[in-house]
Amino acid sequence: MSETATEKLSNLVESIPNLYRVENVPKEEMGGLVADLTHAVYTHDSLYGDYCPILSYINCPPDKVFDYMADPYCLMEWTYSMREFKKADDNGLIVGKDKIGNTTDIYFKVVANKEARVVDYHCAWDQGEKLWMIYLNRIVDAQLVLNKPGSVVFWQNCKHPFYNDNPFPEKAPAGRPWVGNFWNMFYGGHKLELENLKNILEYRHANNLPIGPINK
Amino acid sequence: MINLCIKDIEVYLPENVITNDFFGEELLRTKNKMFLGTKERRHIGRDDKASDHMHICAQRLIENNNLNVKDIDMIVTNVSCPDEVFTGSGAVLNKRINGNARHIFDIHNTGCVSFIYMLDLVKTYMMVHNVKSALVCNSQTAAGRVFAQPDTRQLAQACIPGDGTSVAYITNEPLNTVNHIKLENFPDSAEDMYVNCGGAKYWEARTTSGSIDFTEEKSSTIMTRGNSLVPKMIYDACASAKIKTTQISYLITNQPNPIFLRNWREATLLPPERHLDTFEKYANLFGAGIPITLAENMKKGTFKNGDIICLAGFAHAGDFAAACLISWGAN
Repeated sequence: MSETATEKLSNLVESIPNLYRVENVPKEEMGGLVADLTHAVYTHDSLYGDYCPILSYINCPPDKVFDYMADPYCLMEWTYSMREFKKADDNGLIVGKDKIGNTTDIYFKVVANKEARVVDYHCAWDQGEKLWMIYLNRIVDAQLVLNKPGSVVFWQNCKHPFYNDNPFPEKAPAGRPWVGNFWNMFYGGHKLELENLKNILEYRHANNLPIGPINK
Repeated sequence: MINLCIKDIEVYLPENVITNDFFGEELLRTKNKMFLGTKERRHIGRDDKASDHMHICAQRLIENNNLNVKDIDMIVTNVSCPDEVFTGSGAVLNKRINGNARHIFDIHNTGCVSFIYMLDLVKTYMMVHNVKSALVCNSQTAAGRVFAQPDTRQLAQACIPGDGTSVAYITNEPLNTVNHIKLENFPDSAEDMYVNCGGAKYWEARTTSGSIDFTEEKSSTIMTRGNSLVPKMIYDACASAKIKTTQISYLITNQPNPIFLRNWREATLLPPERHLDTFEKYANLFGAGIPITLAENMKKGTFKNGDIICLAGFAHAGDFAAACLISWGAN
């Protein structure tokens, strides 16, 4: 953009269209807009069509939850089907089997930040060059948000376009259904896995056992 | 086994048609989606009484059905803004039709879903007192009385109510029978709607008109209650009948605003054409809404033998909710 054009185009927030701010949308109008967006029920697609957010309270301190989730080998415990992990390179890449896809290889690495208590799992089926299935997790101290001990785990997943089209079909085992075909079942599947995470951490914390993962 | 038959319904809509521009707070009224969806509504005349309009309806029922008025055993009324505050409208109606009803109730609770509550009351009296025919009267009078005064009509929400009266002729024939009546009170919500006379009592001299109000902080709670209570009652009635909500041929609910109507049919998986209402032309008819929509569609021939019609709704700020199923035609 030329300098002149930049000068002409106002960058004040008031100049940006379609904002809902008290200055341009009076409370009287806002109430109706909000009510209109408030339904009695929501379709599965409207909630989980493009993103799959799930969350859970876990009665285990947030630092313990972080340490557990940031250890890649914990996924062999709390996921439904990720097993048989082996180191794939020296930069944290791991390869295992995703047994929901029979002999499918799953490559992944953990990208975590202890201070922010975020643990992201960057994964892909069949190859480890492009890790595009990314599970974003944030662990929050429940004392802050629920006024009780423990943690709240937010787990987000975004519908990357590769879920619709396998970018590396030549690397797939013959006859193996594509992971993206099951996007509509991610909410249910992930909810049960999050239940696993909760049950493992609450069991070990309540019984004062090492938090794990065990036998890695 | 008692048959609770909705034999016929007559309605009376006051002649005074009020368009939206009668009301104040234009910005709020035209911009807030909670106040949209009406074109017009009727207002009761200052000198009209609920019993006048019930009488018109009852007289038509007597003529249509060739009734001997002495056979009417029971009269039940609900008047949203009562005018016979001491004696009640039922006794007046009984006099006007030269009737001889033994059992008369003027019920003041269950507001927008009082039609179902009154049907249940008639059913009880059929079982216990051998009642064979009854008049169930709903008169919504609050629009012209409460929301048309020089001060109250300035409120945007004044555009939402509309007046109308219905009288249903109920018998014990095996025809259009009402079943699976579900009634539930929610005491926590009983005080969330109130009459606001600017600090004065309604029986005291004052300089401002009264209004029906709920606190602004309660409005989202009431939305949430309405969103959940009405589908809950519909699902309860369907479970009792061992049907799915999608087997309902037509749903008729109270009609507070188009957002509630949308939410209820979404929650029961019914398309708009199977959810009947008269909101656009009559606005929120309170307790008269369900029987007036039912009556209009009976006259139009909407319902076919074997149809299942679900009536449902909630009262006030959610202190009561009800649903029932009608098996249309002979059974």
